[in-house]
Amino acid sequence: MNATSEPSLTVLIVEDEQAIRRFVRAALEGESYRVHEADTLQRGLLETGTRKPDLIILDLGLPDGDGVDFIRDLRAWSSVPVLVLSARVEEYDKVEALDAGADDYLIKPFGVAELLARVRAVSRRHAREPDGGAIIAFGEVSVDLERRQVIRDGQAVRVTPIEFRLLTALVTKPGKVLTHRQLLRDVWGPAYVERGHYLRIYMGHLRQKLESDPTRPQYFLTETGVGYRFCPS
Amino acid sequence: MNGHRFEPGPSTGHAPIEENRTRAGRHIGWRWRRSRTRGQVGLPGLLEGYGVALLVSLGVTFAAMPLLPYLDHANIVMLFLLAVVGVAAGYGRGPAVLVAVLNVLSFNFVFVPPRFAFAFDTLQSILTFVVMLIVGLIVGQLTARFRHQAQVAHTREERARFLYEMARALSGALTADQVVEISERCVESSFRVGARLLTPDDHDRLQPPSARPGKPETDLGIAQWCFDHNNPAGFGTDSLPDAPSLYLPLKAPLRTRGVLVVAPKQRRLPLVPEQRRLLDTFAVLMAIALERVHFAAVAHETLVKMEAERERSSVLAGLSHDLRTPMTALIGLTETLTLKLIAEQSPYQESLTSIREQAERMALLVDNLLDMAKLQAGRVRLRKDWQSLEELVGSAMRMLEQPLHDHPLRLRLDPQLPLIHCDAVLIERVLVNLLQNATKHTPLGTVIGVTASVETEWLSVEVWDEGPGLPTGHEQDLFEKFTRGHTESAVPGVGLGLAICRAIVEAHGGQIRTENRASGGARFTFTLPLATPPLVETDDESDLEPT
Repeated sequence: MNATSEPSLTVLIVEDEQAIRRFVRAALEGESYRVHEADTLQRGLLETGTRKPDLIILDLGLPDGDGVDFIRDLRAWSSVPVLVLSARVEEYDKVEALDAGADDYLIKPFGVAELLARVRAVSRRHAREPDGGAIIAFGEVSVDLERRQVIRDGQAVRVTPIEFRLLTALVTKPGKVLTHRQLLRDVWGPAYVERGHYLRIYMGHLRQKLESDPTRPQYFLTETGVGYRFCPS
Repeated sequence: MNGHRFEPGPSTGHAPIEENRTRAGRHIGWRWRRSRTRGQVGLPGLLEGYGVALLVSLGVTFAAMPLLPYLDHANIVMLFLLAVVGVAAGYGRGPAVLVAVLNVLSFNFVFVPPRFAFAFDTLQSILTFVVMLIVGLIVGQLTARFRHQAQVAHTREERARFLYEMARALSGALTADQVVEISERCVESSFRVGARLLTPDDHDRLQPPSARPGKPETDLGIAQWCFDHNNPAGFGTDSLPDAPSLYLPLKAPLRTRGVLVVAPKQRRLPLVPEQRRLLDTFAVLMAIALERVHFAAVAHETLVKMEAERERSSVLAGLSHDLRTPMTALIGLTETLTLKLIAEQSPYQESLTSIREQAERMALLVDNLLDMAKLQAGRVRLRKDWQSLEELVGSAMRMLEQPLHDHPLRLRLDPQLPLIHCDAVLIERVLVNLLQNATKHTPLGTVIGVTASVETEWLSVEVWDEGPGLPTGHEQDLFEKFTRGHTESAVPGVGLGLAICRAIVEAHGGQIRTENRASGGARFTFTLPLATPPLVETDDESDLEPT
């Protein structure tokens, strides 16, 4: 991707470790993003207000507060995409952060390539939304959201209404990780957010119908303990 | 005590027990009445009554002798009658009868002519005798009844006092030991018996009492039976009445909390029913006190555990953060530098790549150590949900895309596999560790497979390979921490992976084992318990028709 052809984006890094800030900044500036830094959540909120970043990279393990609260605060007045950095021990904080409205996550330690890929994906997704009404194609499958039709290899695939709702929820947010709660709420309704087994079963159906090898899915990826991600490529 | 002869069991039918019980009751009742009349004053008191009767009779006789010239016979009889009333009021029926008889004799002998000789032929003397005897009996009877009532009232009051004192003492007890000590003391002082309270350990075995002087000898076999069957046993009961002590189960609302052993100081003197009732009430009080103390201890323990757990997880989280931050910076900075060196086509890029690889390995090691610490720290909190094994295998393989690239894979997952109730992140970790192990310890190109099947109530998952297999003899040791198949191996690792697998599988109630396959190569098998997944109730219709 050629960064110079796009308007340069502003990224805010909220992270207390200077070493990490430094390399993230170096990596992003190499791709000609404008970078601002904040070392506490308080400063992070302040900077978000003044710098109006296009993306926030937020460390969940900050000393002065809970990153999840930060996201909830932020979501009250801004829809700026948030990429969360989390350590493995904070596994469930990460899910909570995603439920609260974070867009994606990276597990420490992470590489530069991984970071840049996620940053690009998140900002691209935000630039394109909303994306309804189109025909979404991936591999040999195409989904017509308006006509509610799924075609694979030129053949119509029969899906149930709930399978279609689940498929829609996934394919309209390509690359984004959707938590179990989010999917259950969107597809079945708020009363169903604790019924993880529904998701397991219907996800299995979708993969059977749309993946060439359902055990090793290419498009509907499992983020174990977190949710699912639709990867069109 | 002949413990081996003690064979309580289902052979004792229900009806015979009832029969035995009533017979035993009648037996005790009889003894009770007898001991009651005798026991109200005691043997020395009884003798004293009869002695007094003798003295009074003699005294009246001698006192009346000088009065004979001045008084009529009828009035002298009055004096004698007075003596009978006095003795009857003071000492009850027996001494009253004695004094009546003695008085009649001495009156007849001394005062009735012919003096100093017995003459029972006159109607007068017979009348005197009969009246005196009747008066003595009536007054004595009344006195006895009155005394008995006083005694009963006293006993009742005393019983209430004992109960009150015991309840008060028990309410202040903070530990089970205190309850035991207070209970034994109260029973001993209230019943004048030897008492012993036995409490069970965590496995419901009564703990053997320490031998102390003045304590009844206890047969742990009987006590345990009494505890297990929740039935009184021993002396005065239907089960093994030959035993020297009585064993009472302490029944609390939720369960039996112990056994009270009571040994009468005088052998062969069973407790009267009233005492038994009182003792039963005592037993209930003790049981409730023990239960209260037990739950107080449980609550306290839980609190301490929660505190420790919170402490531990905050230490682990802190440690994890502190270790991971430099790793992240190291890996990130190295990679930034690598990109730059590649652009400059520098000869150092290879060293830098190697630094990065080492840093990544170290990060993995830190992860493993922290995971092990977390799993070892005690109960891992499993975040269980209904998971599909197929999905977990798929995501484990995606995580190992690179190392698995050069290995042909054979997946045999039954498409009808039920959902399993497990912590997805942890079970995925087991699969990742086992697959990673297979890639590390087999040559490139070796076939690796995953097979899953249902075996009655278990899901069995095998991760196998067609590699060189395991060194024989120590297969199961591999699951120990820091144990590796070949100690001097060039394969990186410290031997935590399998230990983590075992900790996770065992936390789920499953088992993990390993063996060499008959056709060559190693096989790791773990099992997870199966349960019935909840129903899927959804108003999903048949297939969607395109609009």
